[in-house]
Amino acid sequence: MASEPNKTEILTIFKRLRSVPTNKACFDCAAKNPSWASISYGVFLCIDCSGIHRSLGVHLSFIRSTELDSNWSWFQLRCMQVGGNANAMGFFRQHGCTTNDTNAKYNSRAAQMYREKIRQLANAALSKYGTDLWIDNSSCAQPSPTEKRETDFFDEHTLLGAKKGLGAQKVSSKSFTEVEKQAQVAEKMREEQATETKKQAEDSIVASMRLAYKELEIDRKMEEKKLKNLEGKKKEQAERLGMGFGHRSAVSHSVMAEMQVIEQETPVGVKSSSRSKLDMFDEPGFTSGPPKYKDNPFTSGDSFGSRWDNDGGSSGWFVAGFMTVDTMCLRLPSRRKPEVSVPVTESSEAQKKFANAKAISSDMFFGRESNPEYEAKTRLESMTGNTSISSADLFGDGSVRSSGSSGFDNVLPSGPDIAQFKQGVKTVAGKMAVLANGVMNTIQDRYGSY
Amino acid sequence: MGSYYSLIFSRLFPKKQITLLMVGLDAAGKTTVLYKLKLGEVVTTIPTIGFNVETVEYKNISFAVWDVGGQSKIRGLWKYYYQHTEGLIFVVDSSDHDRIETAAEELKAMLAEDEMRDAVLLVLANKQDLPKAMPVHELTDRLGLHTLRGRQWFVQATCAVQGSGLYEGLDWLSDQLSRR
Repeated sequence: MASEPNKTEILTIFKRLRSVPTNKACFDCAAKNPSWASISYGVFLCIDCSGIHRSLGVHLSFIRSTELDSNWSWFQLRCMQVGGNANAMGFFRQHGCTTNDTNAKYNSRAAQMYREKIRQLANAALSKYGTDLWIDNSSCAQPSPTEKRETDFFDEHTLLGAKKGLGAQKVSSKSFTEVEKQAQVAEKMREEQATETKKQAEDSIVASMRLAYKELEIDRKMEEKKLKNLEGKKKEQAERLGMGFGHRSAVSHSVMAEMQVIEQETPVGVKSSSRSKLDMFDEPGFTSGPPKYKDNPFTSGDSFGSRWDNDGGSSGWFVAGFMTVDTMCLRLPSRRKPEVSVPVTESSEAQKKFANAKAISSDMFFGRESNPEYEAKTRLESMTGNTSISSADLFGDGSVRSSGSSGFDNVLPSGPDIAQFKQGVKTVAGKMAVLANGVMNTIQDRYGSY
Repeated sequence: MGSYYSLIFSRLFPKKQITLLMVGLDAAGKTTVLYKLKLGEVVTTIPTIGFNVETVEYKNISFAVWDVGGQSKIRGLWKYYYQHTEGLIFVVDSSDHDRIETAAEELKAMLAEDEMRDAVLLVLANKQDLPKAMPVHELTDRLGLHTLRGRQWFVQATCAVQGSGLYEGLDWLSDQLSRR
């Protein structure tokens, strides 16, 4: 990989990922606010469960800390982004793996399939998004399996809905600076509006009323359009959660608030008016209707939630599309091969010499030890080296080459000797040349002096 | 009376004290190794944030073993333990093919430190029981030990949960350090 994510990028990604409600509980034991992660499954774990995962071995679960590990790679971050506790939970449930025994759970077929799936998805995301932060899509990848599992969709959204009361919590899911920026923009708009109102102070209140109504009309149209895009169940959900215009009963209330703002600049009114202005001007997908802002000044989080949901449809489709590829079981053996062949190609003298050794010391390696025991051991190992190389190649595909060479050695034991002989001749010849050169030089010097 | 003699004995022949520093990447099995040596049993560990230290008595030598956490952000703390370290135990997860290069880099950086000039190096090729664990000759290669001249090193295949290889490693350490 060309570049690795820097500290702030890692921080930003985890801030976002860990604010997803389903990631706020340990995947295994549901402890609060887990800060450890299993990259193999893209799930968040508490420190205790991470310890258990580590004891499984990296082939089953690779654990890193979201706080104490600074060198996350993009691939690892993508694993976390395409994963998430909700997705993993759904997958395990779907594949009938409901056991709580960690060992059984992660040795299961479902776990193996999910590891492969995460790896594929992460690779796909890596090639698609490169080194973008890819935050928006990552967060909406959470409710991805909408098409596949209705129950999960339901769980997800009821969770979101349940959180609605604690609107303040939601704000943290959006980076605070962004919220602040919006607030500043809103502030500016409000000021402009205020000056305008001063100018039009003589204008009748009825006119401003009509204006306000017009704004609301446009708002409502946008809402309608948006809801049309949501289909079937989603619409139902949205309505139930109060995202749609089913809650129009508060309209008149909002109009009152609108008027209040213009006349007396109370903070709450300010916020509401600026919000509705914002909705008017930009980000049609951002809005979820003015009434809610009046009810709760912190509900900006809700609008983020609803926007994720909108995007969730598309990205969920993207993830599901990759799931249909589903050739992981076929791919397994073919993928393993290069991994094994790497060490084989990297083998050097140590490999041949100590192929069977349980321990190697510097003395054994460099042969400086006078200890006869060591010498004997080394000799023994170099003797058995050849046969053990072929047995070591048992689980690799590089066996053809190395076993072939060792077989060749057995048939023609003089093979290496010839090479050594050649080498020796070369060095001797080189030495002779140097010697001759020196002799010539001395002769020339002497003759020159005479 | 007996205790009196033993006191005199221990005064005359004091137990040799050896300070060992045990480091390695996270999840290599350092804490498991430490408590296997200390207690003789496998404990359920959680990631070490900070350090563990235990004294292990073996062959009339008292090893003070410092086990330091291995997460990448706290590897910077290793250097505070270098002083007075006579032996370095570098624990490697033999089944972690992806991070062996990282381990090699960390080891190389550590051995380049001036305070580690005289320390002998024991590499524990841990987790040999796991599938696809690298054998010691491969680890010797990939850790770059074959280029490491001028230092006493020893690579020992171990499995901390079974306890195999651990005392062989200590044998070598005590052998090396008692020669000094």
